[in-house]
Amino acid sequence: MSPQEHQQTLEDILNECIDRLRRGATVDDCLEAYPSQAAELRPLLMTVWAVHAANRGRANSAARSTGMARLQEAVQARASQQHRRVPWLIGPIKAWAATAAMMVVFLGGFGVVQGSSGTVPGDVLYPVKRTVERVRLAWPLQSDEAKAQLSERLASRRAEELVKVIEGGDVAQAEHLSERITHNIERAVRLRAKTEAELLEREADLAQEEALADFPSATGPNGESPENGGGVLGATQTPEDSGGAPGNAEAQPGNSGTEESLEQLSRLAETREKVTAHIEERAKVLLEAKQRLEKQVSAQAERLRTAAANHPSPAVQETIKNVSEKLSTAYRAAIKRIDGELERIAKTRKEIEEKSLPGRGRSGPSGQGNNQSTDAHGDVDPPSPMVPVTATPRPEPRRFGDRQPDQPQPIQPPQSGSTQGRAPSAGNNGEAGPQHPEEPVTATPGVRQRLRDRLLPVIERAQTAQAARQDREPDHAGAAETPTPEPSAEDKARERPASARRGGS
Amino acid sequence: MTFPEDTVGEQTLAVEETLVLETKRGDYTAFSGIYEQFFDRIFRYVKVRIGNAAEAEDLAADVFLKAFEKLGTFKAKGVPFAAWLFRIAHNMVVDHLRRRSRRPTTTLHENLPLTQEAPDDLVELGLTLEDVSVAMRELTDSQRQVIALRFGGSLSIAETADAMKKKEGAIKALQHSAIRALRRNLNKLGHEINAQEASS
Repeated sequence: MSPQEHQQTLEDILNECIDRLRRGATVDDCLEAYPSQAAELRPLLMTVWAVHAANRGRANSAARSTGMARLQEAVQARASQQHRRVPWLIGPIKAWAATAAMMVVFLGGFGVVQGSSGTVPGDVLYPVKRTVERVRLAWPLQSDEAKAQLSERLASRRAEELVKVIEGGDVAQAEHLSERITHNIERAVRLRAKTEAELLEREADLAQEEALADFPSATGPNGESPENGGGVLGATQTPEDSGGAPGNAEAQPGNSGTEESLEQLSRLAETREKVTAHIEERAKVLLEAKQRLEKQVSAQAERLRTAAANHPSPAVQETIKNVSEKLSTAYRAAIKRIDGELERIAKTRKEIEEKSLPGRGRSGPSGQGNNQSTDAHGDVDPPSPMVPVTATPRPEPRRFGDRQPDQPQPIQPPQSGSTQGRAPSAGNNGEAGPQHPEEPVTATPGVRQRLRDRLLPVIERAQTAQAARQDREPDHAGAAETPTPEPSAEDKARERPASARRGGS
Repeated sequence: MTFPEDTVGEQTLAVEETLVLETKRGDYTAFSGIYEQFFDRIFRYVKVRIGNAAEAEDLAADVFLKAFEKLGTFKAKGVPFAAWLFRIAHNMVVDHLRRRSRRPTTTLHENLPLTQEAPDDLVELGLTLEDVSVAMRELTDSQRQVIALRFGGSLSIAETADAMKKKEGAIKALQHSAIRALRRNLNKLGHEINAQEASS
């Protein structure tokens, strides 16, 4: 026997003797069993005895009780926290999971991620799976809807894990997972609420633009007041108002108001198109989400029913029943919320469609403010032969004082047939805008170009006429900024019947 | 001469696993069973490592609190529970000794006489825990660990191997060298443990 073999043999014999001592043998028993190694074994075994004997004895009972009391406190604390967090993913485990996630991210440990995908709570790689999910949820470059859908997928994952742990009889983990599922569904609802709030803001923007298009602005394009016709399209005077002959648009030139009005209409149409597109997209997304949730809740209920039927333990079956009810409630609430938003969206879409119908208002698709604009000025807006209108003008005379004869006249885009100098467009009298009544305003360049084609020649003629008149006579006192001819257009308009005004220009 | 406190057996392993499983499922009171089953072994392991019974009692209780916190990381199909528990104890002992080394040195006052169950010749040696602790200081960390696990914690070779993350053969060799070194150190301290004294 070589020294190495002898050494190995002695190590084994020593260990065998120690095990014999554990089982109740004595040192002498061991030495008798290995007489040839007795000389070497004896001091070693006696040393073992020395250590054992010196270290023997039980802990003080008071210390033991104190330790037990501390442990019970920890147990109670854990039990009270159980419903709030994962009992076992605390402290160092979280740190480990975070470290693992960093390793995964920076070292490209896709294999680890792949390996963690099928894990369940308690598995070594499960924290990696959860951490990767958290990173994906916290990823900033994604929409709230994307996060909501991710939350739903996570809920579905937890549901798969739930079935597995239930099959294993892990009731505590099953209840915890059901809470995670509920949490994910509720998070998806919250995220969708944020998206809905954004859509509501867009709708509010649209409503504001519609209001601006239908009501006179507080200050017109040249600083005129609403009473002066400072509506969106500007309250313009007809050539007759300014003393010109019908068709001679030399009343109040100045196309800036018209330009702005056109811009306003275009913006309105664009906003309407965008909001409509958002609404359509939103409705589609919500319908898909609803279908997914319905499918999920149905599949989960089926899996849980199967698990309950296959599990012999009544306690587990009871847990499955409770979990099923909890999940069903959470999913129903989420689906109900989606239904509510879909109803609201349908209502909004209908309103927009109604406003967009031809002839619903002079602001084109908006159609709002017909009465308001008329009331605001109380005047008559006859249809312009150049730019047809749809609303029937009211022949009531303009209220006295709406515009004083000595007030400066605003620079107005010319129009014909209006006793009030109001533009035949989406102004404040509720009549049709410059577009054709059967052709709602859209943001298409074609419509916008047609509007320009119709109005700009009139504007140019009015500017020319005004310039010629200014050369002939000085500005009216108090009309330094916007010269107003004498007598004022309003006075002339009052003197003429509405029918005559309609035939102007 | 027997090791009366050693109660490690095959039948206890199933109990451990059951208690751990029940605790992980939420029946935290099951952990008190683990406490009862392992407290003395952990206490003796810690005591032989740090050489102070009072400190060992507190530290042993801390080991169970730590184990309770970390029980979720324990996998039944991984290392045996005892090995896992003693790893925690080892780490806490290391931390404790590190902290103690920063504090003013305290003198060991352990002077526990050997009990009547010990062999007469060892009783005559008058070995105390302090003697053993002093003798163990001269060992390597691995030797101290294997002595403490085997004769303090009463772990089997396999469990010791799991706890120290070594092969069983390496543990046997380490155990042999540790016992030889310990005997040598005890002899230096005047406790002659030799064949003649032990033969009685």
